[in-house]
Amino acid sequence: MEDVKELKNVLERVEGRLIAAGKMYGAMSFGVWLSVMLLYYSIIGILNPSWQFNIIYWPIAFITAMSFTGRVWKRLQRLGKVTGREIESSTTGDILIAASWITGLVLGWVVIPMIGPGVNEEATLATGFLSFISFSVFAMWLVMAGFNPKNGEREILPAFLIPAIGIPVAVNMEAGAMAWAGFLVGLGFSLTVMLYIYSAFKAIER
Amino acid sequence: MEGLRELSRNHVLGNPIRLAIVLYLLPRGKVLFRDLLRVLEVTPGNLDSHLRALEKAGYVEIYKVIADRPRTAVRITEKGAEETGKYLRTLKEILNEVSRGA
Repeated sequence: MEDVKELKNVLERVEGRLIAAGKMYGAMSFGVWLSVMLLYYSIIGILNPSWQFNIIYWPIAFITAMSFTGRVWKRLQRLGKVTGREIESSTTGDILIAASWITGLVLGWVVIPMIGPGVNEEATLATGFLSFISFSVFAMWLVMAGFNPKNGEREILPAFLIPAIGIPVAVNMEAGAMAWAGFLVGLGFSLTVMLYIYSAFKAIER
Repeated sequence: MEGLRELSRNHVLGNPIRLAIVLYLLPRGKVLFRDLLRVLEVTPGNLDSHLRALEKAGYVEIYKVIADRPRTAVRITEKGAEETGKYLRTLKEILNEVSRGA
């Protein structure tokens, strides 16, 4: 009986480490997006470019970060097959995730700037930015969970909830709306990275 | 004991070294032959024969890469990941059954 217990213990440790690896990949993925955003804010802060800069920066940043995320994604899917925590891995799933981000881009950088809900141009841009992140991450999370929120990765919740909560404030900000939006998105993503790392440690220690 | 029959049918992962290879590959995706040698502490001939068995079963792919010089690398396939998952789940179920039965 001792042998069975020992083998079970080894098996659980192996499973724990594979789950932890998956969580670390999740953290890396959000870390990349955080870097993309920090670079954006550095450029905005130093060079103060016109609003058209967003149209150039975000598609390039999106393609660059997505190529990295895509590779991480494949590893996550593979680990999910072993740990039993399967995430959407079909081609349809990949297309839907890409569609989530493209829809978010159009919503945040085209539709909202056209409607102009903010008290000024900066407030409108900030609202668009927060909407883009909230919508895209939420839709991606939903696809990953197979459209069942109960299966969703809890670590991702701050990444879309915190930016979404900040939208009503951003709309009415007379000044500093983009800084506010950047802070919220950075905070949400940082919390997601922290939660992923915490979950990884918990999986290793179990 | 359908689980036991299923496990006994999998001759590839039944070997501890081959199981260790796929478990090492799973979170990494691909790895150099020399790194596997260092981690598993087996002889090159021994590792090569296990990798060939895994390759024959379609669980891994062996290919050449240019690192500091041409090196042999190994990557796990979708089938390899799926079969390892199935194998571990079956093993876990059996162990749970045995624990409950005791």
